[in-house]
Order: sequence, then structure tokens, then C-alpha cells
Amino acid sequence: MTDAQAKLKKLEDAGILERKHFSPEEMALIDKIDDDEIAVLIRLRQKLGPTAEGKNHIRPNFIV
Amino acid sequence: MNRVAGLSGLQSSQPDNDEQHSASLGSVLWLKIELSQRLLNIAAQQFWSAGDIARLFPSFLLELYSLVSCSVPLMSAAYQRASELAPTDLLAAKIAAYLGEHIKEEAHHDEWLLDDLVASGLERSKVTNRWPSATVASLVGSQYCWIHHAHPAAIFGYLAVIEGNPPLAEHLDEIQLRTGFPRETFRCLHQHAADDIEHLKELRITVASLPLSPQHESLIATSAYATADGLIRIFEDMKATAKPARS
Repeated sequence: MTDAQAKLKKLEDAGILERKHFSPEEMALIDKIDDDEIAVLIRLRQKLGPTAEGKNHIRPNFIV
Repeated sequence: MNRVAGLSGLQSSQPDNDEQHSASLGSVLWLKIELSQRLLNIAAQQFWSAGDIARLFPSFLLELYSLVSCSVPLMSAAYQRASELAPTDLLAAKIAAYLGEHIKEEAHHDEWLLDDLVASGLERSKVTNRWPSATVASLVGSQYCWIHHAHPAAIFGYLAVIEGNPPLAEHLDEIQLRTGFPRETFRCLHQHAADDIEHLKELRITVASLPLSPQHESLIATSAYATADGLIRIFEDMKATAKPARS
């Protein structure tokens, strides 16, 4: 497994992304995200717990 | 995370080299921002899926008012700092140019939102006399820290995460139906549904054009992660402390 694949798997296992939503170009970019940043994203995801049933990307979020 | 150590060197002193660098790194930065937005979307999905959303909705508007009230002053602080740096910092000059316009676009939105809160049944004075929570202060305050002690570029992480998830009109209609609040309560959110997709495009084009060093990119990414974290905590706080919607 390459570093990029390992990072992708970590993010996918954590429930942060799904491969099907990412282009090959975006997948390749994941390799450029540092390990400590991957860890930050995973920690944030873990704090959230299971995703609620419902629509993906439901809004509203906050606004400026 | 210690990705922004050594911030004293953040001012861009070699614009030509930085511009070349920006072309290769911009999309990585945006991917990091999008991952932050995904986390925020999960928190939003959890919040809006709650069965007692009518009870939670006024809390959302109040927290939103706190945040929106802070936004223009925050952007003005970044604009001022960027303007100070601009004579010797090309990046800062570009940030000042962007913010100068964006501040005009976002001006008075707190007043619109205040009218919407009044339409929801809350007293105007109770809204305006309510101070930002510790979580909002922490979220916004970290930006002031980076603006003054690192580089005003940090604000792009904040803006990109917040403006990256504009409300959609159909979701607002659904929430109105579920909460039973009048349409006048949703005017500001509907206006953002109409405007923010264009704002996000402008922001993305601007970020892609900036002469960012790796250190600036790291700062913006750190700001994006912190913004997502702060907004997620606001969602969590609301669920924990929301009071009955109407007596």
C-alpha cells in the first residue's frame, strides 16, 4: 500500500470521505496532506460520533 | 497541531517565486478546506436531523447572530492589518483588495438577522444584549490572534469553511415547515442561499490567485480546521443547552 492509499484508507475508515466522491486527481492530492493534519481531521471526526440518518450535506450551516 | 510554528517569517517577501508555488499547492489547500467542510456538514446533519428542531432553531439563530455580528469587525481587522503590511507584502495587498470588497457585501447582515430573530418572537433587546458565548469568542478570537500575530491570510480558512456550506432554499423551506416559524424568520438565510454560492466562487478564485508560501498555506489550513472545530462545538453547545422555543 502506498502512502497515499494508506492516508486515503485512514480518512475513509474514520468516516471523513468516501472514495466514490473523489476524482483520481483529488485522491492523488491526499498524499500531500501531512500525517499530523490527517490526525487532526480524524480527531475532529471522532468527536462527532455516528452520522445521523438523513440527507447528505444538509444545510443551513453558519453564514458570514 | 504545531503546523504554524515559526510564524515570524510569514510575510511574503518573494512574490514571483510564491506565485509559482501557489499554482501547485492551491488545490491541495482547497482539498483540506473541503475535508473540513465535510466534518462541519456531518455536525450540521446531526443538528438538523434532531427531532426537537423547533426547540433548537431559536438557539441556532441566536448563535448565528453572535457569529454574524462578529464577522464584519473581524474582516475589518484583517483588512486593516493587511493594509498595514501591503507596502512590503504582495499577499497582504491582495488580501486587502479582496476584503475591501467582501466587507461591503457582508455589511448589515447582522441587522437583517436581528429583524428575523424579532420575527421569530424574540425581543430585540434580548438579542442585542446577549454577548457571544465562550465558543463563539474562541472561534472568532483565534482569528484575531492569527491576524495580528501571524498573517491576515488566516482569515481565508475561516471564510472558506463558513461560506463553503451556504444554505439551500429547499432545505430552508423544509426547516420552516418542521419548525413552524414564519417565513420572515428565514429572510437572511434565504438571501445567503441566493448570494453565497457566488461568494464561494469568488473566494476560491481569490485563494487560487494568491502568492501563498507553504507556511501561509499551512496557516490557512490550520485556520480552516480550527473553524470547523469551533462551529462543530457551537452545534454541540446548542444541543446541550437549548431552551424551549416558545412559551
